[in-house]
Amino acid sequence: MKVYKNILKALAVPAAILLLWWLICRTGIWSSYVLPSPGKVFFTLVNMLGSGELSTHILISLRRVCIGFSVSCILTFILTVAAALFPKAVPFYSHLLNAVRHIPPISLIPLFILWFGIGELPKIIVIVLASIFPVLLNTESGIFGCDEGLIEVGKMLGFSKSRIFFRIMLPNAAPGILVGIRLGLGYAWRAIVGAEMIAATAGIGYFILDSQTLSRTDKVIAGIIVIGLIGLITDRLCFLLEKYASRNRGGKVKNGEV
Amino acid sequence: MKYEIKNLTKNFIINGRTHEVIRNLNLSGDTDEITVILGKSGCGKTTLLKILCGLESHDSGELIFPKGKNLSMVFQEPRLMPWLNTFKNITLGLEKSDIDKNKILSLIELVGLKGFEEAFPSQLSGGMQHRAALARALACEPEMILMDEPFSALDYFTRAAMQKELLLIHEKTRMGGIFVTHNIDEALLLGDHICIMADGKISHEIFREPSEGMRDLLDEKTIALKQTILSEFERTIQ
Ligand SMILES: Nc1ncnc2c1ncn2[C@@H]1O[C@H](COP(=O)(O)OP(=O)(O)O)[C@@H](O)[C@H]1O
Ligand SMILES: [Mg+2]
Repeated sequence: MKVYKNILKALAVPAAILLLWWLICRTGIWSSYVLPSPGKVFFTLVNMLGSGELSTHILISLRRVCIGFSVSCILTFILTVAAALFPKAVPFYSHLLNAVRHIPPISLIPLFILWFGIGELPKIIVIVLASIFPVLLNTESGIFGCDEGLIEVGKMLGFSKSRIFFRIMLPNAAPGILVGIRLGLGYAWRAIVGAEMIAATAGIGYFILDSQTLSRTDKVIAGIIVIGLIGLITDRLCFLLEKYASRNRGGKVKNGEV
Repeated sequence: MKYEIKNLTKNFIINGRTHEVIRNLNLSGDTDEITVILGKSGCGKTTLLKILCGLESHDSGELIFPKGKNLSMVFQEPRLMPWLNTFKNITLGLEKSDIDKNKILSLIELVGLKGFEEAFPSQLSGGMQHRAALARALACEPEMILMDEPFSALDYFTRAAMQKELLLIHEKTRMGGIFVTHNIDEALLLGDHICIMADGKISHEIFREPSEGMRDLLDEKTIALKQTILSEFERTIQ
């Protein structure tokens, strides 16, 4: 019962927007080129899903996000393990990373096109740059914010440094790491759509721009809705994982529950 | 086995100034008896235990003391891993291949946590968490354990039950160790050998006959001992 109520609540505002959209279209203030009707967008969406036109673009974008995001996670893992086992190495790269963090990855695309062409590599790099920082920062704060008392338990039990890291610091940081992953995935998804609008021949971002040049506003809106929906689904999945990981931490993840 | 601490000294440097926390501390005892160290808070009890189990360095002195797997410690707080259930918390220090399930289950029963093997720390009460922490130290089967005011955060009833259990465990396993407390009654209840710590050293030692079962805090001998301890504290304050 509660689930149904929550679903209804979540759908109320989108339904109102849909209604408003439909009403505006009925009045005919704007031409259907500027704002196609919800019905038209819906049929376009269904048609494209049926023909597979949209899914190829979605899969291409998802593939890029998966590859780029995996690279981000691997790099995060390497950097965090390095920082845990060799803390003296940290000053050599921490400020550099902090500077890079403030550069919007999209702004690097012109350079990347110059260096790498418009193949897959520049897009992967953009995703890595867009997603690594939330993952890295949340992982680091989870790992290095570990209660000294728990680490002392490891030392008392005769654990080696790496054992303390893998058996205590890492599992202790799991909820924080998942928060980073959730944020990072969102950033990655946004960045890939942007990157594909500048330099691509396929992918959901390319699809939207291409539809615009062909004056198919209905396809543009359908594409935008799909981006939002995919973002929502991945975010929900991450949230469930996050909740699962902190299920024993004494009711921390109570608010924000949907 | 005998252990011995000779001329132990430890300084902390705080804001460039040296604070002498332990100076020329001497202590010896046997790993199978319960030695109680009694002292005011801030007198260096935790520091001493941390030095003994290698969590803290010392400046000078000699330690003839069990090391590594032969020594475990129970901290003032339970310090359980929140993501591990009771069973896994207790076996944290053991290699997977060394875990004897039946042995651990009987240990869980010994500390009164039967039925809570699968419970997570957030599902245990404070007293139960302390029992789990004690079981974690016992599971390694050390020669002795160091206990840092393990019951001081507990209410009177839970503390009394835990003290009783500790004596019971000691009777069953003959594993002793050093028990640190600031509570005189607790010291009198548990200790065969009571050491008063003040000014960074052991200022007074009391040896008692090993007791059969629980000691009575109200018997004449014990009351007399309590008076000795109190006057000893008075003396060290002056
Ligand atoms: N890590 C530390 N750095 C500096 N001073 C410390 C540290 N740990 C303890 N001390 C000092 O050592 C003294 C003894 O502390 P502690 O051993 O915790 O006392 P107790 O356990 O008897 O209450 C205190 O005065 C405290 O300020
Ligand atoms: Mg203390």
